[in-house]
Amino acid sequence: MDQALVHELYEKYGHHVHSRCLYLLGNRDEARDAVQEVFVKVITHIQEFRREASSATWMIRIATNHCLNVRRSQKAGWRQQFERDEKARPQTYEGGEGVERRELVRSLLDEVDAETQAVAVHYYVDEMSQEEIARAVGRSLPTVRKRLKDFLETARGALAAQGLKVKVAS
Amino acid sequence: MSVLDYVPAGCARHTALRYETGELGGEEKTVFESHLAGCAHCQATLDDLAADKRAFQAAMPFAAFEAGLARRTERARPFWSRRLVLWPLLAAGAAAAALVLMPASGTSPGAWDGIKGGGPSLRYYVKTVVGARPGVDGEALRAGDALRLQAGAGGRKYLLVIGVDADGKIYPWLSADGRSVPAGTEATMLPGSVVLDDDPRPERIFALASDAPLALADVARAAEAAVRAAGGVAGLRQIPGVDAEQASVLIQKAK
Repeated sequence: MDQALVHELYEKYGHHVHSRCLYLLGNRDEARDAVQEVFVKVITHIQEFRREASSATWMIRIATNHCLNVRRSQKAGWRQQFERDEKARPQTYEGGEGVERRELVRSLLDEVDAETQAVAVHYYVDEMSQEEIARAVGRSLPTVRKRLKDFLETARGALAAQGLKVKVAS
Repeated sequence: MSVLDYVPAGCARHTALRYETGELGGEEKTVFESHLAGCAHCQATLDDLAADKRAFQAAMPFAAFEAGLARRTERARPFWSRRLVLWPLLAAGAAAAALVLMPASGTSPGAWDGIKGGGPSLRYYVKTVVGARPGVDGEALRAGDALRLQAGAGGRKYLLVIGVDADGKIYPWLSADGRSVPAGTEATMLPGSVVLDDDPRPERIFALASDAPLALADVARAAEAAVRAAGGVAGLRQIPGVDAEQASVLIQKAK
């Protein structure tokens, strides 16, 4: 294992990968495990990493997909979503609406399919542009727009079913 | 729903992230730095990213991180480059050693490839983040999937477990000093696991149960000839010319 490479990746991307894993898994031990698993994938596919136009985008995408897979595998009986969300500590980059948005997105992820999950996270949490998301997930712009629309519709339905009042968009 | 009626403005967090990693260059960097000079929001984002970095590196210092990674990547080395797996208890022929029987949970049709009531048994488990699930003979697995094996000699005295790739080259899963190991009375989990590499061709794992120890070199020659004759491992359920009862599972790779 190339120690210099590992150190470079650790310095540049470790905290970003960790933040993503913690956000999606909501558990510090699981997040630490997931960070290492993501780095194993990156090191195993290092040639692909080097070909990417944006290494940061690629790392975030790998971490997102890995953790979404972990969430899906946990869904079948070992973990309740609300436990995970309750244990997760909110991140406070902007405070207020930004935090609320991330928390809401995370709580709704299990209502949508895998690809829509990834698009929603990249859009609402990473604040990537739709074009950046299309490049990151390898889909067309219309497909990304459709996934976002699907997510919003699902979100509205899920929140309405819970009888939650929502702010009217101004 | 105003919190989700979100349209990215000029202050995308991802741009700040790319700047923080040193990825922005040229005009993109100049534009962002000019924007940063007058944007408290982006400055706060960078401050938060710096705080994240400090917290992460405090929680996972590099030395420990690297050591953990080295252990995982050793297990993730390509299938055929992994070191010889030794099964200390059996290799030492410690008759008094208690063998741990792995409970067979979640069995499904096709998960076993062996002779019920006699003969060697062989099954594999696919390791997931939350545990292991039984594999199915011939199911398509992916590069990066981790496998563990459970094998038994079915009453025979010696057991040899090998993998055979599409070229007929073998890799020992269970052997000692180039030979079969004395077998226990029950099927047990082999220690360690391997992670599948990205070679798309199938591989087959054999459990060879015999009354005399087999030499790995002899089995290797027979396997290579058999694969050549059969044109691959997919249909090769037995290795001819080996004096052993055999069980096998096929590991297919998803395309």
